[in-house]
Amino acid sequence: MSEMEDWALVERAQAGDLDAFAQLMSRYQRPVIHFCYRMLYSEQDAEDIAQEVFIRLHRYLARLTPQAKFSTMLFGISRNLCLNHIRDMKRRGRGMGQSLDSQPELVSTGSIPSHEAQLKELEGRIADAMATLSAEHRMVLHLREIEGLDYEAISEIMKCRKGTVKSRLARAREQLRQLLINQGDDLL
Amino acid sequence: MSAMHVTDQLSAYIDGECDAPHKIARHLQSCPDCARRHMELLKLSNHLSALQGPEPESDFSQQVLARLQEKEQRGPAILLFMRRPALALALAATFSIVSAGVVFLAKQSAQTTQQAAQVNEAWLDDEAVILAFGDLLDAGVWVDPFVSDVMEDEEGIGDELPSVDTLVESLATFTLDDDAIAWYEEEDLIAVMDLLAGEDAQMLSELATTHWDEV
Repeated sequence: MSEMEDWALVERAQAGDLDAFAQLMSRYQRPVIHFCYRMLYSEQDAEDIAQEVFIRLHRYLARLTPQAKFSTMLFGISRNLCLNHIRDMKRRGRGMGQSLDSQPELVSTGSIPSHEAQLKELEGRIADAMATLSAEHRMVLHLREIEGLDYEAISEIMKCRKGTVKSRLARAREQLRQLLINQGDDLL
Repeated sequence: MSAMHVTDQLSAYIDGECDAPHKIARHLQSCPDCARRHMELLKLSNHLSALQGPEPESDFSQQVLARLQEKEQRGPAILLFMRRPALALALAATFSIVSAGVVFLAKQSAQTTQQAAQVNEAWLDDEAVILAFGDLLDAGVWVDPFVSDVMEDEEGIGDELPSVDTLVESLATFTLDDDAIAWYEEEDLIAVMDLLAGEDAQMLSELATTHWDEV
C-alpha cells in the first residue's frame, strides 16, 4: 500500500468522494480489525471498534494533512479507541476475559488436515499466551511483529519515546518467552 | 547472570534497532547462553508474525458508509439538543459554570491578551460548546487523535490549559434535575454522569483540549 496512493484517496475523500473513502477502508479494514482483535480479544468488539475507527477517520477528514504516515495516524485512532473500550469494560465490570469470543485459532480439528490443524493449534497457544500480557505490551508486540512497523512509527502511535518502545518490546518478549517456557511449551 | 551477557539487548538486535550490532553478533558466536536466548526470540518472533486475525464481515465498508449516511441525515449534533431541550438547558448551565472558570484561568495564564481573547470567544460560544458535547455523547467516549499533538507541542498552547482538577471541581458541583435525566438515553447518561462525577478527568481534559485546538 503506497503512502502516496493513500493520500491521493484521502484528498478525493476530502472532496466528498465516498468511493475513495470506501477504497481506504478496503485497504485498511483487515489490519485495523486485526489490531483491535489483539487488543480486545473479541471478534465482535474488534469489528465494532474498527467501524468506529473509520467513522472517526471520516469525521476528521477535513483536518488530515500528509504530515504523518496515513497508517500511523489510523493505528493511532485505533489505539485510542481500543484503550477507551478496555477502560469502559473495566468500569462496567466486564473484564477482557469475559469478552473472549471463541478463539478462531482454537478450532475443531475434525475435518482439517493434520498439518493445518497443528498450525492452528500452534497459533492458538501463542495467541493465548499473548492475551495474558498487558494492553500496552500486546499493542507494542502487534505493531512490531505483525504490522512490521519500525520503532519510530510505533512511538508515534503509542505517544511515547523510541527508548520506551525498545524497553516495552524487550519486556513483552521476555514475559512471553518465560510464559511459554514455564508452560513447558516446545514452541521455542 | 554474567555482566558479559547481552540478553537485554537481544530484542533490539533482532529488530535491527541495536546501537552496536557487530558487538552483539561477535558475542553470540562465543556465548551459548545468549545464542540460545537469541534463537528463542527469533522463533517467538516468527510465531507472532504468523498470527492471523479475524476476517472482516463481507459488508464491513457498506456498514460504515450506511452509518455515515445515517449520521449525515440526522444532522449535526446540535439537532440532538433541539430534540432534547432539557438536556440542552442542563448542559448549557453546566458549561456556563465551566466557561467562567476557564475564562478566568485563561486570563490569568495566557501570555498575550490576544490568546486570552481567543479563548474567551471559543468558550463563550455556546453553540461550539454544545456541538463538542454532542460529539462526546454521540461517541459515548470522546477521544481526539489530535489532542496529544496539542498537548505535546512545546511551542503550542497546550501548556496553558486550565487544570483538569479545576474543571472537574466545577462540574462536580452541578447536579442534573429529574426532567433533564428523563431525556437521556442510558448510554448518554452514563457518559454525562461520569463526567459530572469527575470520575473521568482524561475525558474532560480531552474535551477541553479539543476546544483549545479549535481556537
